Amino acid sequence: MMKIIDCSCAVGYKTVNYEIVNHENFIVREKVKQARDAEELLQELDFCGIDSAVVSHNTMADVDPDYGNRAVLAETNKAPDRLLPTWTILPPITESQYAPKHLFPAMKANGVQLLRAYPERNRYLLNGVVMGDLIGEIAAAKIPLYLTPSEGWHSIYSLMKEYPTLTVILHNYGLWSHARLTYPLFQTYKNLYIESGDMQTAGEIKDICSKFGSERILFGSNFPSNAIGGPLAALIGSGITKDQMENIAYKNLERLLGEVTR
Amino acid sequence: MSISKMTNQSKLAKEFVETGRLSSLPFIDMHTHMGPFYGTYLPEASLESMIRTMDRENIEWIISAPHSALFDPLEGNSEIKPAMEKYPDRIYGYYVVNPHYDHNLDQDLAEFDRVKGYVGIKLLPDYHKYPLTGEKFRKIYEFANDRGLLLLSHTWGHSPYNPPQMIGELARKYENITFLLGHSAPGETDYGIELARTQPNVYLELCDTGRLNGMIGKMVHEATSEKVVFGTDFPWYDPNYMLGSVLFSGISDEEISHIIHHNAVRLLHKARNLK
Repeated sequence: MMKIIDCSCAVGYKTVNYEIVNHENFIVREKVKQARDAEELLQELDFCGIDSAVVSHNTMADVDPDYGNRAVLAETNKAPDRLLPTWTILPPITESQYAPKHLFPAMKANGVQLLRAYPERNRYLLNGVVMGDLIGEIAAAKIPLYLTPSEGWHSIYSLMKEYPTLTVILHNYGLWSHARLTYPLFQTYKNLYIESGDMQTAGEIKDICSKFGSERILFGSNFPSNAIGGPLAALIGSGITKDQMENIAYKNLERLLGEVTR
Repeated sequence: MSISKMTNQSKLAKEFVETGRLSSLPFIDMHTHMGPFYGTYLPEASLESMIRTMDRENIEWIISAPHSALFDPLEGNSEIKPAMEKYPDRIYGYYVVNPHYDHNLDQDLAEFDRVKGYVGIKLLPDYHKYPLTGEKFRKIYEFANDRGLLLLSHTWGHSPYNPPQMIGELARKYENITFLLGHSAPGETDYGIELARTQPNVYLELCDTGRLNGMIGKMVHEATSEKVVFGTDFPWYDPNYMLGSVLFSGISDEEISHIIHHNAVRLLHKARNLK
């Protein structure tokens, strides 16, 4: 029995059902079957045999990070052994609760070990001038930070240049192969990871494993933008070794979580 | 390999999860390409690597329109012919029409009849910036209608060039063409599904759109599994990814079999017999 952790699921309804980063790498609006709450998400996970999931809440982006951060805890607390919460950050200069001295104790108290940022959506720049010491502290604590290049690749490149030890998980990157943009990052930054939900390109999983190692991919679906079965079958049928598959399925994420020091 | 606690009761899904392959039923991809493409890195783009992937994943055959056919008006359609000659039971071809370069159309259509593996026409209006209902395509439609061919067109919701409404208009006029709604008109899939439900010669094609959670179940529930065909843009997309989307869509194994295999066989036989 292989354990599988889905590192990228969303719960809650979007204001608009649903904005998809589609195969032409731009947004298309198309209805999907969403998970209203933890119970519905767990049904989806059970259907596909997924053991546990890292969860965000759609209101983090659609309403407000604070609002969504509370909402995700309300859901993940229903099944804390299977659902791992993530929180969205904001610049501490405007929202002081995101300063490390407040954020990190709150994360510890609520079992939050992973963060995410949507700088374009929340109208700020993700750099040291704006964020003060927060990103440096996140990097030092080895807290994984989810970023989506659907808000732009340049900002990810500049962030990694400024914080080369930051642990980043790329997600929601669209379906045209990202390789010409991600492979240089894989090569330069050893803490750069990618979630596999949008990884449709034929041979891509095997290609990344052979060039950069299976340690750089985390199984994820980007549910409900993607049905979990697609990325699941892409992994299971990828032709990589059992050890590589286990790394992607759960070991890499467990290793990252084990390295978090706050 | 197996995964724990899977409540999906599909035997085909269980077989795939346990073995990494669907050996009991080969599948068929009706929307593929071939060769490298400017906008993306494709590790398995060559003909031979595609064949290796087809063998590994148990893909019985594909219908292909190489990227060169889509974008090189001078030499494009020549690439598919040696591929079909080398693998006559594995690779069939769509003839691609670029409406901006139609000066040799009569000559090309005459060749279509002489080339054994061609089974249909591929149109890419959003990229060629010419509408499906444009006059330059009339001869193509008459040709395809006479022969009962497949016609795979890129479709997109709210597009000025290939919205599903244009397919509906054409399908009612050319009843002997089998229209495959490439991508099933994302952004207007509800219209596409209703069109497939009501128009006998229109089929939904899954490329990319089938990955959306709940989409395949909705298509099958509303238009039936006999109106949905499997497609992936391979070698862009790994056919296993879309296979998983079908296997885990909550439909029955009989419905899965229609989508991944039986419908394609039926439609190919119709196109080849009539041709």
